[in-house]
Amino acid sequence: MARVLLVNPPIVPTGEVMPPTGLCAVAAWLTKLGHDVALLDLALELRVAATHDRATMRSLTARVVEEVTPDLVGVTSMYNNSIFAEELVGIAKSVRPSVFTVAAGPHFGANAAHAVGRSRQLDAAISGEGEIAIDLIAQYIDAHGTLEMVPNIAYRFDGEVRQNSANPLIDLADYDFNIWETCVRSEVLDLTRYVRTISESSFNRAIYLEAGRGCPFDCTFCAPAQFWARKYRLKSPKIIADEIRFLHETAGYDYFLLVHDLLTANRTRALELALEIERLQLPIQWMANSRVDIDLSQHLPAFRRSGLRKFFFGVETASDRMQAKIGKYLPHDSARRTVTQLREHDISATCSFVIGLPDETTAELSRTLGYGAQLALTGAETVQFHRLRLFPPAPLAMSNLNREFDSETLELEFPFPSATRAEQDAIQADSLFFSGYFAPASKAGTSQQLSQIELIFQQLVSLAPFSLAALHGLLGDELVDSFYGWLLKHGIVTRSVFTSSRSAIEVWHILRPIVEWIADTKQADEAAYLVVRDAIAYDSARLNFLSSPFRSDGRATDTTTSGAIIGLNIDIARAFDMLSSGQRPDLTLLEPSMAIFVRATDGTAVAMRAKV
Amino acid sequence: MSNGGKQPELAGIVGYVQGDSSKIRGMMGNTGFADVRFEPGNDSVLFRVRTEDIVDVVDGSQSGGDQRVHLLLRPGASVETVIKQFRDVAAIEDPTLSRLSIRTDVSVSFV
Repeated sequence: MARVLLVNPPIVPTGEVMPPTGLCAVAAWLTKLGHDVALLDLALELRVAATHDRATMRSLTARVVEEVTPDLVGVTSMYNNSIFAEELVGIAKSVRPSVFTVAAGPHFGANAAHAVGRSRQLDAAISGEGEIAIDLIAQYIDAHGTLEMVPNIAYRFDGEVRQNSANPLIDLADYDFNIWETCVRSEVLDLTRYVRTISESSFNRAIYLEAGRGCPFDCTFCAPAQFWARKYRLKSPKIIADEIRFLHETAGYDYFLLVHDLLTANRTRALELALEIERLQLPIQWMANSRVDIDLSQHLPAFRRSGLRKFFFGVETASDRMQAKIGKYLPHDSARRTVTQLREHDISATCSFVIGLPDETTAELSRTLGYGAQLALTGAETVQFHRLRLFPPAPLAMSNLNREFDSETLELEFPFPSATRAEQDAIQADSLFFSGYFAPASKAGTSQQLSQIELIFQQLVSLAPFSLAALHGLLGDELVDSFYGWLLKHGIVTRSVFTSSRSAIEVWHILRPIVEWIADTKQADEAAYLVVRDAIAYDSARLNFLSSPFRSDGRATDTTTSGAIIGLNIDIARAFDMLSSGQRPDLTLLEPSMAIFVRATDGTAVAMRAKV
Repeated sequence: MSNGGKQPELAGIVGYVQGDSSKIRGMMGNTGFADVRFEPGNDSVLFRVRTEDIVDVVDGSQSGGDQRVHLLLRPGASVETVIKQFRDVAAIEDPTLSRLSIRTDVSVSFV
């Protein structure tokens, strides 16, 4: 059987490293079929080497190819590291010219023929699902069969690129074995090396775990749904539960980020999985993707008992018109209802929005920003504002939208601290292959304006959602235009000011003047304006209060406080209720009150309103 | 959300007492209550603890005529928040606070 080396290029320069789920699945699949598999995870190796640079990546790859002497080298990529995946293929070929090279994964898999056409060193690329194809390539290398018989691949033949026809998707019931146990027992994977990258202070040991593939919906901006042919598949719940048990017992993982495009598209099967996880009776938590319009109310107690911590929801936009435009069709205000319902079951939510849709107006974007803040006040643990990205095979990515190179996003996601000029030029030169780094034109703003919206409002909704909701209550559909006014007067904010070393209160000191300036443009609306001013005062006091906790040994610092009081002009408790439910502030809120913050002896914090 | 069970063991409460901490130190071990102000010079909101629950008193800086103190409490000690001069106390449903905590057992009373 063939000797196979699977390679994961470096992904991000910092943070903990999780095992590459997709590559591990393929490694286990090939191992089960009798192939001799090795895995080179450069995301891990560069972290362990503590020299996160290109030279280490190159020398390490060359050394491993020499040691393993593979017949087949397979690389994957996540868009941001595709340029290095191509380079690694070249290194493998130069060290071992006889090796067969193949690329797969979400980027190469969506552009297989193009990928082969780009690189002389790449012998083939797999379109879509890879298990069947990579096994047949390995058999071909063993002199069994021909490349013409391998489904799903693009390959070079007689100087031209050929694309074979697609194969039906595999039945995930064929994954009737524990992929993690298979990888560990065959020494493809050493989980302890990944665990060592997790900070001692982390609350959880988190790991991605594939639950299944496919989403039946047809949103125009979504690549994965098309990649998996919009067909819902779930691995055996018993196998998934067994993988959770194995990862918990052997490596202490206790938070499982289930990878499935839309786990709850089949509620019965999702419940089946939850019940299997509950039967483990382990102290673990998990999260998964859902839609806010999938009614899970009957299943929530069972989900919670099984350790479900939160759902991820793509809410995308607060505009009903844009919901229809992007083919999502979420019912009006369904996200608020769902987040409220989840909170009653102590299940949290991440709500994600897409900003800068091609036909989106500044008024619609204003509503989206305000709605995001309202969801944060309703109880969504995380609200995300992401700019639209065009990843093939999403229908929008395949359309003829005007787009421009977006070096800022590239720099943000690049696997090394900075992209060289040559790397930038190479990416900019191929707008089809690297379409994810070309921002589409939008009525909601220029590329730079939308980048600033993403930067500032993401920070704002995370740190001070009350102030943002109040600001939207004051400005309404003019919120974005008012922000652009601020931008025109003050210039852009560089991302580097929001480095991770800054404390929440330091970031708030950057954001607060922006909120105040925008609010001051509409002082005539007295009630709504006063609500913004008091929301700012409340958020400032809250952040100050929270930023001075006890030390980890329980001792107080010079700034630790157990209680704080601020005087306000409005009924702060009612203002919270009003803004979180999307109501516009009115004069009835104008009643002096105090906000009282109390930290209990166990470190928890609450806020109370008292009237004067 | 959960803070992973990594709660401080000696947190207790931090606040202000008029003058210095000698009065509280003198009450330790006896039966009774000790009041600690939220803010220096402001008696409108206080923490009230049982003196027999106080394990130690750590002095901080002086602020006006008040002494900043950290009262270390025995495990399970209850702390009452006493609110004077105000009315209609209600919880502010602020999830940004509960992100840091699952629940709280703060008890509140009016005077």
